[in-house]
Amino acid sequence: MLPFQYYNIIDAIVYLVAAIIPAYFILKSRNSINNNNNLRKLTIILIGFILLQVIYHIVGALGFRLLAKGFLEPLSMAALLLFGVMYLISTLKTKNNNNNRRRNLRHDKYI
Amino acid sequence: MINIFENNNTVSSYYFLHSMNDLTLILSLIPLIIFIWLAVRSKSIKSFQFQISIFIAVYILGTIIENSNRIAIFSTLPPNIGSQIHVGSAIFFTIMMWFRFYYAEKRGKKMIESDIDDNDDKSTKRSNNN
Repeated sequence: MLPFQYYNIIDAIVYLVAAIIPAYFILKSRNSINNNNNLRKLTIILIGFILLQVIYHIVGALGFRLLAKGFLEPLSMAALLLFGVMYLISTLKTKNNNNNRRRNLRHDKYI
Repeated sequence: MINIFENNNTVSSYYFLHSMNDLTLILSLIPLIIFIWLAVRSKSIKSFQFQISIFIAVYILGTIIENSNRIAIFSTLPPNIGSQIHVGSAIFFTIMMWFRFYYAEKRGKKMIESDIDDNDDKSTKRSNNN
């Protein structure tokens, strides 16, 4: 076994350990009544990124370098990009809502 | 045509891998910029945005060094250092997730800062604390 294959296996295990947390949150939010849809979507995208990383490292360890580096790694990065964009949109939306609420509160006070 | 399921070392697959590495780099740079911008706005080292931007930065560094046969400066580095940096970034990511989970459970807070959460939750928490 080559050294880079060892590193790939370690990476896959470490990412699997990280995937436990978002997976737990998805399972937990399934049961709760008060669902936060944005946070749930973000968690699903994050777990998608982590699992793609796991698959990429396993495939890399098996020796399919072209499939791993040429397809799975860019795909996992696309998932991370989606996560970043969704996070940005949610943050900006929430800030806009906050500002609107503050404005309305001020307006109500003046009245 | 390149068969991605085969492990061949032809010239065409070499160029294909290099172009895909460049694509990966571009794809990972965009979320890095987004999270750095959000981290600067949040003005806190403890924020999720700051920590994930460190993870992405280390990951990108690992990727650049791993594909360093085109850059002369990195060719002097010991072999597999790129893979080792990748392992380091993965460990950092995992520790970050578990620590955030541990402290969120301990303090009864949410794992990701409340920018995304509903404001109603915040106000109910405040009223409960008062």
